[in-house]
Amino acid sequence: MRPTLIGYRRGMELVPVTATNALPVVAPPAIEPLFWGSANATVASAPSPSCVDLSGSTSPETPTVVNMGMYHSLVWTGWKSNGTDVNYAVYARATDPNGLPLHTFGSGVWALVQQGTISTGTSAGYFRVLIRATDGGALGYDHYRIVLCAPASPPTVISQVKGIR
Amino acid sequence: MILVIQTYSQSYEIQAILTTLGIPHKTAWWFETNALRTPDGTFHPTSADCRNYLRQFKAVFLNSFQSADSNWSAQNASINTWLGWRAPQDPPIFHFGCALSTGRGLTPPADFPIVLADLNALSSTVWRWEAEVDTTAGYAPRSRIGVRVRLLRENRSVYTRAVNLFWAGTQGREAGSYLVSLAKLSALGANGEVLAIPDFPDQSRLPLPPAGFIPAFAVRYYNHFFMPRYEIGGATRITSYHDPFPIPKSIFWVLYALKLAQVKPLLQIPIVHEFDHWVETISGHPLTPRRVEQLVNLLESYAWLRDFGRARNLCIPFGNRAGGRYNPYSGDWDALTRTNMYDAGDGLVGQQRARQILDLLLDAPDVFMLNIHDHSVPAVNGQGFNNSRGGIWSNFRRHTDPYWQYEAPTRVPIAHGTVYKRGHAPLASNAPDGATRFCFARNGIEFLDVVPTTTIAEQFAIRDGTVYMARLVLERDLAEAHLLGFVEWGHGWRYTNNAGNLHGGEGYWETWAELGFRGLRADIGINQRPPAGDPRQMYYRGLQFVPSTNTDFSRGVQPGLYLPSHSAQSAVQYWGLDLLGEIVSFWETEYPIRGTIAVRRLLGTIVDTSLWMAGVLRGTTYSHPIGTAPCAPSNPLQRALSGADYTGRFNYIVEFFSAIDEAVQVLSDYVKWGTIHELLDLRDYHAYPAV
Repeated sequence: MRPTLIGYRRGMELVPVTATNALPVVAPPAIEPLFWGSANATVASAPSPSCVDLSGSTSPETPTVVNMGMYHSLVWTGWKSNGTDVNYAVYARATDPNGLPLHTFGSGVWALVQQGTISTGTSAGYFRVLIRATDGGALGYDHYRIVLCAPASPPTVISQVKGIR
Repeated sequence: MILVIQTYSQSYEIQAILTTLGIPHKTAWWFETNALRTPDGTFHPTSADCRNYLRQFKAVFLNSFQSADSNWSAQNASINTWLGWRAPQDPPIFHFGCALSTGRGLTPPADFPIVLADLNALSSTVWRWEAEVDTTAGYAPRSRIGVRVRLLRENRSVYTRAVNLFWAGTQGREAGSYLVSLAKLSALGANGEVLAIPDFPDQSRLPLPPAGFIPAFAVRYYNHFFMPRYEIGGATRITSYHDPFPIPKSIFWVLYALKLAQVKPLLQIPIVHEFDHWVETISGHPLTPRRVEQLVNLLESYAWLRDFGRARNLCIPFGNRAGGRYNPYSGDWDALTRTNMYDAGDGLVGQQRARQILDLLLDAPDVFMLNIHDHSVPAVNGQGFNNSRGGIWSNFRRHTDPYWQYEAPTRVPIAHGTVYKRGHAPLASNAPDGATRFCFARNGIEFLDVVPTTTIAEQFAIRDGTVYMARLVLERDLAEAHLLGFVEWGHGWRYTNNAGNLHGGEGYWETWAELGFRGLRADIGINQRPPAGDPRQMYYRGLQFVPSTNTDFSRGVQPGLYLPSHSAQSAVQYWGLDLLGEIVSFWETEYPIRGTIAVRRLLGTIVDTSLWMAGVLRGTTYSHPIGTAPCAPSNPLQRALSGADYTGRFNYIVEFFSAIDEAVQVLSDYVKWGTIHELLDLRDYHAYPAV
């Protein structure tokens, strides 16, 4: 294979680019930060899309993050301000080629992907939740709404969400 | 190609210097009698194969670090056999710090001119100029081996640090230079040569060698060059003022060996020195009490340096201690604008002199490159740009100059709202609008900040370390610099020497990158370390963190070389120049000759440190020009210790640059005075993506 005119420098050496010697590229990060936000958990015993989301939104049809199709899992790390356990739910939906939800009103707007309870013991503290598909494949949804509730004494929850490609 | 032969426990630095210069090299290891381990195989050191192997190299550097009272003999073949390898095809072999002593079983040829050291007959076999000089004092570098040598080929004298032999003394380590037999030297004719001899400024007080012998730091015997020791062990930091830091070693002799071997480099190493605080003065200085007199010293020193630098392509990154315009009494601004910065009755004169200094600097942008150096930013230790993220600055003031981006009353975000990676926010528009949506980046990823806390106020509380504060701080400091007249400086050069060497954390890094900066100075000590990694290659989005170390004359009130009333702050203690009282105990009774010892040790260490920082770490050194405060205002450019009043007055700027310049002249193929951009280019040249 003849070398091309394209080359790159490795130390003192000029390395020509060939079919077997590709131009080095900086790999995209496999995990990247997507979101930071703060919310006071809704007072409720069970989560629903109407509960407050990680950004503080209580509009049940509003996603927390969009354009998420490229991430197979999400890592949600955060801090909550007191020892009250928080119930959470992760809702998801897919969009059409225009980026609009496939179904935008009434029941069935969201698919429930995961729910659970976050506990930091009896005091404020950090937590981590891994959001992934139950079948072990990629999540692949385009929109997510992550909501919080607590039966009483709802804490403030400061969150960061990272996506894993 | 150069072969560097190391023994165990030696580090990478000779190879690092060669890499910086673009000189190809290989490393071999020699700590077993029968095995020289090279990248191309293991050779018996006395074999014909070994000799043939060495012949492919332009030079061989044998880096020893053996005490003269040790009987370790694994490398004896380098003398007993290799000295016979002197055919035209054999390469020059450089023996750094070879322990030529009687206790090792060495059998050099009969015509070998260097005397083997016998520690039981010191005075006739070693030139030991002072006691225990290889012992370090306090935290300082091994500065007591500072010398001035005469290079006989160049007929020039340079300050550096040099010992050929060391051994255990009663309190620490002793050291000395070789003694060379003049009769044998004469008999050798062109096959023997003394290359470097002592030329101490205080030579007259030092012991004479025995008759028929001459002390020498560097000697050639056929193609074998016996050089001073390169390795310096023990001390772990340059000054007590700083974090633990690699200790500078005697790099001068490595560079000089390259010159002797006639190995040309691909690249030259630019020597860059940085200044902080261009118009700083000190209240109640013990030698020059009036601040306006200190300004005379600064003005005259800068004028000297302007002419010195112009002739040598030297450009000094110069930290404008910024922020005084917004936080009174915290910056260089105050010296120009406030009469009460000066002693009673001196206010107007002080302002005028500060203005004269400003004009001088403005007229020489090729030599003085002013940039941002803001000490007024809160920090853990009051140094600015702290990376703590914890500090709230309750009365932060931004600037109000028009036509910038963040001046009051422009609405600016000061605390994050909900932040999305741009494109992931559930909004109709991802475009910043300056009201509820703002943008910033981190690690090259753009983020949209939705409904952050904003303000139109000029003064407010803000948390340090955020990208929002960094933008406001740096822009106000640029605005201040523009008002002073430094329109193209700093920003134009795109390099800055941050206050306290602190890098500020990612919020600041991102802002430097936004502003188009190429690099900033950062201490590579442990506490304030920027992104982890090789200090020669620390990057954040193309922004370089340039390692630097302090080479201030003295500390605190800058008392200068030595003042009994301020001994702890004096250079003698700051640089560890005195261990046994050999300087301070005789300061007045033998003035100025004892002070001359301090000067020699100090300048030798300075030259090594400057060459080492540039050559090994590809970094800079920095100091504060107020180190000129001890000069007499009636004679600011006074050379070292020419006065008679026991004050040790001398102009540190003149002595500092003159001493390094001598080394630069001698090593002109390898090092040069440079600009920060030449250094950044060199660092970029050597950096390549980790693929």
